[in-house]
Amino acid sequence: MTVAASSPQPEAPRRRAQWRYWLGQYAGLLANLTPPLLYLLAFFYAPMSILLVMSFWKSGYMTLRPGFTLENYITFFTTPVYLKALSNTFFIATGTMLALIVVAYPIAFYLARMRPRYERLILYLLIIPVEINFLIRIFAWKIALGRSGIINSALMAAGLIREPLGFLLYSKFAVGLVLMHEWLPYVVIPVYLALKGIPPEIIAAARSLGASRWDVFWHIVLPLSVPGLFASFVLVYIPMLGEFAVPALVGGPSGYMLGNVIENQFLSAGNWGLGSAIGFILLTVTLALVALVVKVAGVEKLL
Amino acid sequence: MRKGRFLLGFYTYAVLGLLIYMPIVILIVFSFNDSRVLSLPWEGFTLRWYAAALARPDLHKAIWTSLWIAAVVTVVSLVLGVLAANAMARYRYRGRLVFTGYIAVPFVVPWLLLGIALLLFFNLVGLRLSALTIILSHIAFDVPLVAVLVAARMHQFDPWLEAAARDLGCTPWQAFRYVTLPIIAPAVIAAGIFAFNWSFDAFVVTHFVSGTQVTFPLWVWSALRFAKNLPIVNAVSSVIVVVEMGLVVVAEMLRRRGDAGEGWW
Repeated sequence: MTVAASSPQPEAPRRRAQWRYWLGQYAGLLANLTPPLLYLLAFFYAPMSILLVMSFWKSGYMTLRPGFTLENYITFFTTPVYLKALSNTFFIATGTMLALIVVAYPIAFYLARMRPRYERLILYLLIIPVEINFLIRIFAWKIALGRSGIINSALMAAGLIREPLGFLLYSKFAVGLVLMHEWLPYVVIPVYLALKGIPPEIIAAARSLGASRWDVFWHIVLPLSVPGLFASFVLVYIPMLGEFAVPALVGGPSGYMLGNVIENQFLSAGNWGLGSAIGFILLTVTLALVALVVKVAGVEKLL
Repeated sequence: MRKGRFLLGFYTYAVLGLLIYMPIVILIVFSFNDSRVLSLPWEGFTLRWYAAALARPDLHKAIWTSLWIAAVVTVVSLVLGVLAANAMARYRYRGRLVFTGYIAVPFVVPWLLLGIALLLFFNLVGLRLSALTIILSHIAFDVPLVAVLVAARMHQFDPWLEAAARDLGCTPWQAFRYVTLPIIAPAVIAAGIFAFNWSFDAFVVTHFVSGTQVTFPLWVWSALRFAKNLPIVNAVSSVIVVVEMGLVVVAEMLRRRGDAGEGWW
């Protein structure tokens, strides 16, 4: 009884000292961590949550009433135009991603085995255009690809074709081409970094043990570059699923993507509930893909 | 072997030339073409599209709006981003990876979704769409950018340097100001240039949260709908392309100088 009663008295100053120690340790951390944490909470995580909640609200033209309904989701999955946009989106994004990997891999391979001076030059050549306003770059493609555009008029002047090639602009082909232009650096660079990280001794060892060049590539280089491919998948495939400016400018009716449906619901059709539902479907697919990649490849390899 | 490498090199330059640079070169060349339509044949050299661009007050206003918005966004994003980078790279605590993920998630969410989510959010809290909502939105995607770029630099530097400064009697602020900051300065400046560029070029997010404000990308977006504007868009675009290329070269040089580990201030 007496023991229990007397023990808190020496406890108090010790606790205070501990508290002060803890404060010294963590005050700096908290001062650094809290402001960005709160900012993103307010202007990223809260809006994203609202998107989710509102996708279940009752929605009409320019009206949105609180409640819980699956109407918006049902509308999406029963309207052929929307489903067509969904399949278009996956078709274009997947096709472009595969084409990008095929086109980018040899460049990354070449880059990884170069003398440093030229290596840096090509890296600059890849990085610089990324920072040019991308609406301007899409516009540049429109000038190049149109029916009376530079490519068609040059080919006709050279006598190679009689009629302008119609598929160059306002088609899935145009969307894919412009997306490749936009995303090529984001595929080359992660794969290049992965290839660059392969210790040359491994290759030398394999060669001295009698492996052919092809064996080395197939059994060593390619598997070791897979993390780079995963990284580029996250960097490229996911934003492509949410694309709307490229299909809006060069896609025409046949290149219509999910992003265009969403934009249209918000800025023209005025059906925010449906737009939110489609947005949330897109977000779910996106996060599921990221989770899959993280699970298969491991986070530390991506960073 | 040598032949294979030559072919790979040829292939690399061909892809870069055709897929990356051809449209940009066409854009710049045809901004000097004396013709209303952007196509061959070449009608002669002119600067009149540049003169026409200079005479458009709506364009000036849009560029000015984008510039000052990007400036405000850059300053705030640098402060918040460097704080986040500190918490990501210079402290050891449980939940550090969670915090890193928390900061990085905006990178993997398509900008379109950020745009509509912010539109819903501003509408719900009753904030009228204006320059303010544009700024708040741009900071949301610039903070992760700055944090990741600066944290990458911080990971490389020796934490004992700052501990030594503290040992020798510096206050935490002095240790940061005179030891850490000079070392991370090139990365911070480079991150600032990239953040400025991202804000200046931001179209997708701005498209949803701008209300009646017109930024430069929004001006381009609406100008593209009218054929008579195209040569002017072309001329302005060419100027912007050259300026942005210059800025990026500077940012990259700073970043690399920082990576080489030289002190800077």
